[in-house]
Amino acid sequence: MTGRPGVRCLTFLALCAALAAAVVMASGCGSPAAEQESEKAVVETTEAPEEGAAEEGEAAEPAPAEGAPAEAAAEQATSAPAQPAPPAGQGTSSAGGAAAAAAGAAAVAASQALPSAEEEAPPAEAAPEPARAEQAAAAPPATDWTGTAQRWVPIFSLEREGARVGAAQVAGPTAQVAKVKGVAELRLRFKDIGRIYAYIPVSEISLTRQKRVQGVSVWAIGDIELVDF
Amino acid sequence: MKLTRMKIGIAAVVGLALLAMSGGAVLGLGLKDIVKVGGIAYLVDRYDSEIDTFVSSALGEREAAAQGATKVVPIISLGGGGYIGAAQVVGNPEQVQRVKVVVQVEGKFGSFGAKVLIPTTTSTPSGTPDRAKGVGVSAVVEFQI
Repeated sequence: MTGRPGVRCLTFLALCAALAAAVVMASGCGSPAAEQESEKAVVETTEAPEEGAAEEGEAAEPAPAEGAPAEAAAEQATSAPAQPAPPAGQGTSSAGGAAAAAAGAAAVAASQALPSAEEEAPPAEAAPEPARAEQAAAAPPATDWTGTAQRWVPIFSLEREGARVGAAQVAGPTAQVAKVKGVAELRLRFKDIGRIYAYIPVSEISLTRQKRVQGVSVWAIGDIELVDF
Repeated sequence: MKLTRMKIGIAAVVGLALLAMSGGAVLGLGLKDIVKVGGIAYLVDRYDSEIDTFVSSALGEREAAAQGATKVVPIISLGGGGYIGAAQVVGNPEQVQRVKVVVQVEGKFGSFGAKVLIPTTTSTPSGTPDRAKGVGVSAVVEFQI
């Protein structure tokens, strides 16, 4: 318990709440019986002052009397869902009961905070697996490059030179190859040292917009010699 | 890095020129052809990444970029045996990394001439080219030397 920073912090908060309650009672807000009880609780730090706290066991911390610390203690108690806070009626029935019970619950919660966090940790570690599965489901299907079908389709140029008589053999998955209507040829110049012919398998023949069919690529290029100069 | 590549390119061109003077005539290759082959080898080695980026961006501007990996490799004519250009290959990323050259096989059937482009995993294909599965040609580069 002493080696856990979280536990030490919560224990410190419980002690602070008990001291604050003692100060409030010393100023005259509490009944004499409650004051005696509270002082006893402060002195005997290991003794559980009330029924609710006594049930919680050895980890119960000294309890303050009724007053403001009950809220802080209740917040601490709710921060650790493993241990329910004692009923409010019990606390208010006797002097210092509510705060004492709440502080005791907070102390118990502090002692069990780490184990509960450890219990919650495995789901947090296991969370990436479903997250990966969701990402995989949300991501677009990977392109299948293993070609099983080939097909000859016409080549058409996207430049002003107009249509050129030619054909290209495209290959890829059968379903994708079936979508290909033609191959668009795009001519580019690279630094005056090279001319590039880019071939785009498209699903519709259009000079303005090329709808590329993914997963399909060109395997062969053919030209028909119409006029022999 | 650039200087090293340039040195390699110059050495290749000079070496090929010497080879042409000594034995090129025996092989039926002219000096021009040998210098051209060496020059293409140098240009492909020098500009491969630039060409790859250039083609990919040009296709991307037209929303026609290919999914998968791309790479620019030299084209080797199976009949001629020398570098005749470069090609951008596209396809399965693992297979694209294995591609060394694209082997071009030319055939003529009457008035129909065809060039088959085979991405291979060996840089010196002999016999049946070792085709890289799932890889095709996206663009062909003709160098003007």
